[in-house]
Amino acid sequence: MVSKTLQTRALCVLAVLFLAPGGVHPRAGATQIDLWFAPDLAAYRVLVDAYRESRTREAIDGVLALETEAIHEMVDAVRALEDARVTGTDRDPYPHEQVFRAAAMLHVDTASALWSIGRETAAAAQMDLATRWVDLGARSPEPDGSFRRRWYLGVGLLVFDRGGWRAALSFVDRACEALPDDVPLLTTAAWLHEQVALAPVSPGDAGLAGLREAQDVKRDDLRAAARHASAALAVTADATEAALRLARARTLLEEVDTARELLLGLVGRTDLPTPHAYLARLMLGQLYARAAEPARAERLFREAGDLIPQGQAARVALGQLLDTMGDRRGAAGVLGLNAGAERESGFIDPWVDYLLGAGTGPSLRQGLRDEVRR
Amino acid sequence: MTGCGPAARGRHRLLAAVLGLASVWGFSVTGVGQTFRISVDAVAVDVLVTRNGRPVLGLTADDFTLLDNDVPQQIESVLLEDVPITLLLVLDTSGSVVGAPLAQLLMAAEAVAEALRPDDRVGLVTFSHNVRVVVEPPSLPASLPDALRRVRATGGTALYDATFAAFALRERTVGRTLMLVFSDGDDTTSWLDPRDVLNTAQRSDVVVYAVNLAGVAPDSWQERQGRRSARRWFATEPHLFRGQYLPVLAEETGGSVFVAQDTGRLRAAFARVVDEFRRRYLLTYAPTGVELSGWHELDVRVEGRGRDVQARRGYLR
Repeated sequence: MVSKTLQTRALCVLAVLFLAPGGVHPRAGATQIDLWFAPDLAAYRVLVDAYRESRTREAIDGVLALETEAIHEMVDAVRALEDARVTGTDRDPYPHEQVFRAAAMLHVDTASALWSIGRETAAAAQMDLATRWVDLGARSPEPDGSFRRRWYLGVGLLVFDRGGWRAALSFVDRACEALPDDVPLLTTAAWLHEQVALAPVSPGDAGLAGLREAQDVKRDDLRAAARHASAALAVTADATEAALRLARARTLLEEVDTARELLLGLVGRTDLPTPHAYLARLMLGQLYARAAEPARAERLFREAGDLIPQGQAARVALGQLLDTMGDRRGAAGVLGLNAGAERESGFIDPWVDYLLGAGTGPSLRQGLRDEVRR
Repeated sequence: MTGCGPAARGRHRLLAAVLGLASVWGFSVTGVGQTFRISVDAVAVDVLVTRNGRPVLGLTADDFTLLDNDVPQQIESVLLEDVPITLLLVLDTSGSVVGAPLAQLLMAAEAVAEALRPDDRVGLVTFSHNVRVVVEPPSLPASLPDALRRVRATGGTALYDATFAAFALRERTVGRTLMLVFSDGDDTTSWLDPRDVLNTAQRSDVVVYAVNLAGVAPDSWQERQGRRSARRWFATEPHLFRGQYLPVLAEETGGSVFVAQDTGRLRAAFARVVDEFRRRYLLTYAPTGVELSGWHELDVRVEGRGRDVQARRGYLR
């Protein structure tokens, strides 16, 4: 644990550093940063340095040997210093912010290691520390694409990978409160709420009361998905993934008219990314199929297939429609087209991406690591 | 009339090639080298009769009573065993079966293909998040081993889409069609709503047998009650009760779900499926006294105490 004396000493050192006439230029070198870490926490600084030098395992083992409360107290001490917030620009931060960012990534990777051995509570404690470090670099307004924005997204996806839907939802909801105008975060929150809404419940809980409770939870999550997607759309009309998620949430909430209106708007646009144009056609086609308008549905499914010829969802949607219409030969033909043939290596249908996420978390986090190791 | 004796067997084989496809829709079909035609109204119902869990053999049309929408029907024929089958294997090759489980799954599939008869046919659909028609029906069983050797495991689980793809291929099957589905998990990536696939199942005469791996949940009375409830709620909330998909699909088509304790026992489970399927009766009748279109509830009964009948719940026209 850090004693009050040591905390005070750390604060004094900082005060000397930053409040001296003319101040100490924070970019003068890493030695000033060393002074932030009082002697009994020097070991922590060594670990952060080890992490920045890519000695990740050593850094993680070291962090696990420290008491998290001691690190919290240090963060408290640093937060109390106005000078700690002199951070330079997001793209060109002062050295001490680089240390904060590195510490945040170190705790993220420590949490990841703990998740992998099932120590969820300890992982959550590391995530708290990580969040506090990265928030020391909060800016107002937060620049587009800032380290902190990307950090919340990349780490939110990690929490999803390791901690599951609910843990990720809790993390990303908090992130959305911190960054309420962040379109990728809001869209991710909409995705998580949609997935949680549709997550299976245990058969043991499936009695009538269990069913009603599950339906209530489902509807609440779908409404939350719609709310986050709407918020993203309010930031920019270019948030087309959010528009798709809003339409799907509305469809699942049986608000079909608003869903159709949204999708018609998307299908009418020529500037959509191809995967979004594909999905908009599939979703609208599905609404028409359910409304007993098979000709419209078929046209949209075929258009989707034209956009992405290897698209499986389009093929299955069309095949099912044809089968229902009695064209069994047509259905078999649509499904048999790829018989024995390998799809383009690594191809993933946009619908699978839509459901499971684009898998961008690892590359996002690697980018963040690379940045703090510069 | 029951098919028995060489002459009858040959005749029934040709007829069965027609019935297997024409049961619900009724139209001309190209069988093994010839074209046959039956009444557009003909319906074939695949039935398993058991006593104490064992198939009961040797029954004739007189032993059965069949109600179509509560109206008794005249059973025209009862066929057993000598009807060739098309086996549609639908195998989960998602990431969860990587390694030894996949090897055991493929060995089980190969073994079941070897056990088929010369006039049987096969199709193979594998699925992860991608659905692949690896072997199109009606292919010779001998075509399966090579195809199985090329199968790799990775990714998510598009179970609904894969089973639909297999139903769509019924257009190309001959004889009676058995769909044998193996999956070790719930659907995660399908485009289709499972109710759409059930709708297709109701318009087909394919019988679905599913093989699951034993669940980790304790099989308590409460759990069993929960599963029963969940099966009922599946139609209302298919996403929430997605684990009920295969049991519901099997029930709709008159099939069963077998549970293997581990992947090492898949071979035995697959063999049991084919063996049981061969011991099913194929009843045919031309519906009378009922509207032809719409949902037809079926009720098949058999004479004799302690006999259980397993047949599809109905069909959709």
